[in-house]
Amino acid sequence: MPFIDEILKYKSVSFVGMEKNTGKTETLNYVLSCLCSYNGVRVGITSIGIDGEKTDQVTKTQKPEINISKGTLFITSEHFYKQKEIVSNILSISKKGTSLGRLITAEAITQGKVLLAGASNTIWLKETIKELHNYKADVVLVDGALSRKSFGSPSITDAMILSTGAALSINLNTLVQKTNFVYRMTQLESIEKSLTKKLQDIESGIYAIDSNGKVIDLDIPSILMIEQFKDRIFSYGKRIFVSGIITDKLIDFLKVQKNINEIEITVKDFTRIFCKPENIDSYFKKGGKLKVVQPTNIIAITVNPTSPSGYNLNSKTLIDELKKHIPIPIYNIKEI
Amino acid sequence: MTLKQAIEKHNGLKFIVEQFNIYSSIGRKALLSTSYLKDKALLSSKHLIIEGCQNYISEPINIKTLSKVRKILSYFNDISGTLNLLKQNQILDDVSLFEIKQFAIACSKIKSLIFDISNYLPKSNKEDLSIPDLNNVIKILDPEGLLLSQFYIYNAYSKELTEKRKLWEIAKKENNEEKAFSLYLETQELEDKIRERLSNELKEYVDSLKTAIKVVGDIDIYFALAEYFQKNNYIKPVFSTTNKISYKQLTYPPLLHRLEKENKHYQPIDITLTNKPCLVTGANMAGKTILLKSLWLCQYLIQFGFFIPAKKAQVILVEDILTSIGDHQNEHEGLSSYASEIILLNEIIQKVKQGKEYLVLVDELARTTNPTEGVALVDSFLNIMSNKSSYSITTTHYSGIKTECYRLRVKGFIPNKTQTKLSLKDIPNQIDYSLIEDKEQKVPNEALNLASLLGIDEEFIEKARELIK
Repeated sequence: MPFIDEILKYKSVSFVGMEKNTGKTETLNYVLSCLCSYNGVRVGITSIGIDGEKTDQVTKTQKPEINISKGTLFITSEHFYKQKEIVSNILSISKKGTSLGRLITAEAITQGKVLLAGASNTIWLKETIKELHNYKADVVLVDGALSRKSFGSPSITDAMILSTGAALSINLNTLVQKTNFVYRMTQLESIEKSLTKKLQDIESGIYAIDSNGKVIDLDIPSILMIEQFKDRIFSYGKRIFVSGIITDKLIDFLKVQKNINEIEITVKDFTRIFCKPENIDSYFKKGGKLKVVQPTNIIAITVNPTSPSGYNLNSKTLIDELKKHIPIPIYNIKEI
Repeated sequence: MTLKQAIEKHNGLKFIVEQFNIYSSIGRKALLSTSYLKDKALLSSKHLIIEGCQNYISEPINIKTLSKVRKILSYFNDISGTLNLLKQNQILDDVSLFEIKQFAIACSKIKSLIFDISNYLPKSNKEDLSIPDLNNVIKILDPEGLLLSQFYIYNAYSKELTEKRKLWEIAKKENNEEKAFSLYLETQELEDKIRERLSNELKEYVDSLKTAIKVVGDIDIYFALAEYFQKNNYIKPVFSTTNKISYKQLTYPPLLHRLEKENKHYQPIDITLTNKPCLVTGANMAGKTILLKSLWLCQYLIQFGFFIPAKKAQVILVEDILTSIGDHQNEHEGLSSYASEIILLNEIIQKVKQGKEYLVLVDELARTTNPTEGVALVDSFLNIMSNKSSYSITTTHYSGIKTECYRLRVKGFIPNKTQTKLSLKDIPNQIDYSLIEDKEQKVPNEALNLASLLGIDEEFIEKARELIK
């Protein structure tokens, strides 16, 4: 059982898939089954939001269920709680609600299957993780999402496990390149501590950070409207914080600026970057900087070499290729 | 009218209500739905409970208890919706059952914490803050007797369920998915039967639970009121046995708050009124509008059963408070200030003519039209207010109002020869806000004095002075 000991070093670990069917749920279930054989380890588990794979109404594919063992704490929505195939004890109910009802914190009395749902924004997610710790969870696992629809970011957990695979691309090179790009984005430099507090809870808007570290609202409604507000963006210097996502449009705009080597863009965390790898790379090459408020501690990558259409990549080749670029443990769960 | 509607009308009332420390959502909801009352007995009984709570928290040991109670209150869920489902014979799910159990346990905790509250209440109100006994509800939902705020369909409810669950566990361990699934369905069926049974048993206690919700809300509200009124020196109003209203050292809390923050002096005022129409005159910035707003605010506080910001008060109860205060433009679309004001005034007149007792507060009647007709309108309005059972206070800058009425004048500027120029900020210190009875029909001419103190263009003011001569 590799990387289980590694997981136990952290108080919270998120599981993120680069695409549907890259094996995130298998990874999560694998980790859960390993952890339950560790005596005296109490596991808590929740999810981010309610979107993503669970409610796959479009493809009608089965919703992936999580298999938890006796004593595991879990948080899910009222709606999913009713669908559980497990005996479990309700411990508390949230005051706030999601579109699938309020969040239920419960403890498994028997082993069985549950569907997870969770907080829909980062602040609430932090609270739910804390709640599980309050109920004496030693480690909290978070079923995360890489989605621009999600306001909850998995980066707030102490560690992250990324799942990738043929579902992302059946072209080995593309798959490796895309995975490597996400990995590199998780390794971006984080901003100075004094700014972290100021920036982490800002939910909307675009800000300048002046030479004294003061954060000034630039009053630009959306980064998508950057063209209309380009006169304003550098009015307080070249350090800009974007609370939402950044796209190729912004990078294209920045690349043609004079003094590009002075420009420093800060985003919340790597999940906010929705740009083509080549675009970001050319921005870097010209001297542009990109930083994050919340660094991500990625501790392992799992691969699923089979695509949903049935195409199979060679597992060993895939892992070897990834290892050429990425210096962290990479596994195929099914082969451990 | 509810408190929620009243705070929309009066921002001073909103200012006060927002400062009440209410801890539960039940309390907040109940507070906002407090009704405007005209019943002396009901209001007096509210006063007695507030006083009881004040006595209770005046003992240091009880302050600790109260903070424990409040901690529990802050976690309270409103289960009214769930109780309605029960009443409609619906079967509750685990989440709803959990909520009822959590509610009942929290209630019993509060009950045992403030077990002696009735000792502080008068005989007639002894039971007002006592939560009904919900032990039977807890028993239904706590078959294992653990007294924990947790819930599931316990094995203790049914031997059959216990057996089925064991078999289900075994099937799962053996990876016999088909068997496990069919056993799962069987346990679900048994669980549903138990939920039905529990729902039926609980139905009997819906009324007790509803009472408990009300009492919990009351406990939260009354302690908040008791604490707030004590801290801010609000007093219990005394109901007048005659037609006389009288306030001693009346304050307007939002203004007091602002002045205290700026380290400035606040001058409370005394006022006595009867149902003879009252006409208030006084210089600009002399606090006439604040006077009206204070009377309005106090009348609300009185009729919602609260205490009031004064040293002493004899009060009456009225049907409603009718006001014409502020700039009326925009209120009725497309109408001028004057037109909107006069329409509003007409509504007031129609109501007063019906003979019920109202408190009528009119600020600078007809100020936006020509002074000749303005004076006539004020006179005519006061005339209509005469010999009615309503209480009216009208302010004006107009001289020559002839109707017989009770005339009050704000004392106004304190003569101070050393000071020739003032900034806007200094003015309040130069004004005596107290009210004196005035026999004259002439209003003080202080507009020019005020303007010159403010350092306004001399030529402008001197010319005006000459014209008056």
